[in-house]
Amino acid sequence: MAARRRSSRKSKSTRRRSARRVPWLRLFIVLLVIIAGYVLYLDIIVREEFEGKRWALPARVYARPLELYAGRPLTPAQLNQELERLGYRAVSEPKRAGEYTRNRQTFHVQTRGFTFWDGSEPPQRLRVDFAGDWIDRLIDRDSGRELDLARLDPLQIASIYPAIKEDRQLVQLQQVPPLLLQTLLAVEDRQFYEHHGVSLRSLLRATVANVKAGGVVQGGSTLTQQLVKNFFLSNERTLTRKLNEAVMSLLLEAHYTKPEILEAYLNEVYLGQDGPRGIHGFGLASRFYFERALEDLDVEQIALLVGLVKGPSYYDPRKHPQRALERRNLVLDVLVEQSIVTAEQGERAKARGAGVLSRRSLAANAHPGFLDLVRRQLYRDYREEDLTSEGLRIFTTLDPQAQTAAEKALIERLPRLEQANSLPKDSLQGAVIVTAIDSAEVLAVVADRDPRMAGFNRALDAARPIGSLVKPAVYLTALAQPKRYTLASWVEDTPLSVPTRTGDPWEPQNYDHQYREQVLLFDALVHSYNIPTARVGLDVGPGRVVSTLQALGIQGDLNAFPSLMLGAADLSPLDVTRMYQTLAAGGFRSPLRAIRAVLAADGTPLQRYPLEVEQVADAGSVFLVDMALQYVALEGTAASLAGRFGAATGIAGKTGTTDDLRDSWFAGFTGNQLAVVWIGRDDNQPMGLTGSSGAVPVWGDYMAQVGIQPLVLPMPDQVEMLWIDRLTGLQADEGCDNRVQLPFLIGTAPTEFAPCADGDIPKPVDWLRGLFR
Amino acid sequence: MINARLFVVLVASSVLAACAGTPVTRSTPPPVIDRSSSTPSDEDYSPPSTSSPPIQSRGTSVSGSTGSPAVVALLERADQHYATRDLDAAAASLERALRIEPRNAVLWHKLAAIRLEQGQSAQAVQLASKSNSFAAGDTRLQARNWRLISTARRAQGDEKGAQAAASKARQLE
Repeated sequence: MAARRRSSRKSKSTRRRSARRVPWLRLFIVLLVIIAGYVLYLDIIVREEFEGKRWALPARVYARPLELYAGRPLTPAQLNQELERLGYRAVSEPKRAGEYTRNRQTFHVQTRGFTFWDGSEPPQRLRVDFAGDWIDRLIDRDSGRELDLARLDPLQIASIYPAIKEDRQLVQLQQVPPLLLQTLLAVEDRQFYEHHGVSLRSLLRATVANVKAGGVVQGGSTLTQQLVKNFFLSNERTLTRKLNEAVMSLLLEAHYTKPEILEAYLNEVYLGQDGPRGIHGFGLASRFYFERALEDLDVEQIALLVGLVKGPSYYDPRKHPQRALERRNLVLDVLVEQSIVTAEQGERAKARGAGVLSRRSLAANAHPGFLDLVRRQLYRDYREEDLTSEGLRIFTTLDPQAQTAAEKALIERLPRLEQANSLPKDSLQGAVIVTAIDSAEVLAVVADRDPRMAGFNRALDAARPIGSLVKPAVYLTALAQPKRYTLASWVEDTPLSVPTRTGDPWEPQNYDHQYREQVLLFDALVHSYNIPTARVGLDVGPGRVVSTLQALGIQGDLNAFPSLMLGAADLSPLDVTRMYQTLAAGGFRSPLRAIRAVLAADGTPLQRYPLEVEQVADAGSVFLVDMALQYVALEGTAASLAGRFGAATGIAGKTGTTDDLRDSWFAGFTGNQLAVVWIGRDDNQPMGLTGSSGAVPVWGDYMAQVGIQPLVLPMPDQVEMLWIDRLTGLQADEGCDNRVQLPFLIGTAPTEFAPCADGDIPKPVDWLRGLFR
Repeated sequence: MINARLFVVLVASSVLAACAGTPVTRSTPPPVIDRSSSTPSDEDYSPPSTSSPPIQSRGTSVSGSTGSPAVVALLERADQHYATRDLDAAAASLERALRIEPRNAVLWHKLAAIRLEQGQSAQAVQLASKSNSFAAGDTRLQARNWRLISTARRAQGDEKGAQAAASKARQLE
């Protein structure tokens, strides 16, 4: 111990002596090594960041593109809305991509062109002629030829970001207009091509220029320094940071060429804020402020963007238009002074307005209900980091027209329902899902009466009893046994008591608490009678009904209890949509799709989500059920729809109401769309609304906006239509006052004629007439 | 062998599609059922879509096709993609056409043929059945669908099912 202490003392004194001899040199060397090490360290950072990182590009999510073709049902107002949503500019004569003019029934549109998953759509000069509610002709204005079809560019509805929400649209140096480069260098760094990263001359020149202009028009840092600042450093204003910045700038210049640095700058520079989303780079800024490609910008727009570099929030042209305009004009003055533009051009540019588009915030993720569905599908197929950094382009099925209409229907109807039923304000909630029938594409999802609210997704996740919505599955199960059941079968409507394991028997009641002794199966479905449905369901077996529901597409939990027949199953609107989708598609089930395709950033298709079908129910039996569902909207619980839209629309659907009026449902379809509406309260309290009084009007409000394509059910070969007397369930003819035309699987219809049918003896002529009608 | 047969199916059905198309008349709106002649009353119910005109009676509509120029153009594109063996692109064009005319039985049939060619026999069977569901009255197309189903079932190793489908096709031919 002692020895060691001694020796250490000795060595210390030796060190002290030698340090005293050459203290400064040693210090200098140590310092040099530290500095060299530090510079090396910075060098690694600079190179790694610049080469390795590049930019994390968020995935871009697009709505469906609007297809234009002669014969398409579309109103001029709908096209106008679509163009506005896409940021097309109304001008007197469209000259550039993204401009249009409307003259009543005729549109001239200069489209932007776009690369889709199945090829690219060139930019075109279109003329669209309307004839009332549909497109009459589509003409290529350049050639004067008629076009078969064209697509507009799709609306971007969202981006999927990493934690730091930087967004950009990468540009390459050669696609940047020379005027933009000249302007940028004239304002931000005139010595760019001469300096090595830092420039004393620039600093001095900037100071002189600023004094001359009586305000700050130029910054002292070089573009390289600004890039370094944006790229690697925090925003603190300390000497260390300034030093780091200088060193890193020198390093950057030592490693990379001027064009490389310039291109990086053009893509990195921060130019604005859209909610939580940072707008980086000139490519995206040009879209963000003007909805234009960089190469289409006018001189004053270039000047405005370059002016923003100095302070994107201070000069925000949307929040502070006057400031932005003054700043822009200052930049234009610099351009004139530097002879980049003539004085005359400068004056003309200054005379123009800012031309910045007001725009709905993208970052607010306008359709959280729908995007939820998209995200769930994406996270099944992709890693999070690919979604947030690889610049994937995701083409969804969202139809902005349908989405807007569905939102509006819910937003505007709920307060009216509350008022009419003396319910507290804002107590009702709702959800809507709209799909295209045969393609099984989800067109719209509303998950909250405040559609911007990204919270609990009622459309996808609410589990509520579906009430009578289950009944078509009960009857489909029965009608699939044609020897036992047809639409003209009699079903008992008398008190029913079913013993249960829990002790209390299950005793279903009709909604009106009446008994009708017996009813036609057809009437039981159309008028949603509970007791007959329960009897049919018990007869065919709850297990079979569960199988039918699952075959139709229900994925939620189902218990084969007798009470299932009347809707004791907690399901989401999405599950209900799956079920009715299959019914609407003639018994063919298709997985609902929210995504059509995913493309890599360079446009290579990564994944398609193809249309798939599977026949899960007999087409004939489904036809019988679907036709009964048409009668629901004609004379049953949704008869108000025939009154509102006319019987010719052939709307089919089913209402659902649950105990104590806690849930109001309607699932209905037209010739091309299925819409499912749920209304209820989040606290699950009674609200006093039936399916007819709550969900049906919302459904109607939606359809009234988008327009109804009449439903004409395709009749399968194995089905025939016959007139049936409603009082006897037997064949009818003109002599019967109370008759209805019903479909039957061939060979299953009643052969006897009703007493009202011209005597009791069936006449072959009538029989034949019935067959071929 | 199989390819040659499929090609015939495709060519034949594209001809069919072209013939099936009735040109769109400029001054008429998209088809709407005229119900003015028979308004349902409480006593006399008629199905909303069957009477005047009886649209879903068999054989009146040509495989659900209105043969609009847009769909014909997309069919041509699908054929071009098919010719260059870009089956995914051909399917994408057909799906795009189906969004315009979801009940066009010819489109479903062609999609079935492409899936069969891609080795997706099960999907081919389903798509051909779907085509048949819109082909009421069009026995030629139905027969083609049954032939396709027969080929697909054979590819799945279902010889019995293949023969049953083939005999259905013969009945219709």
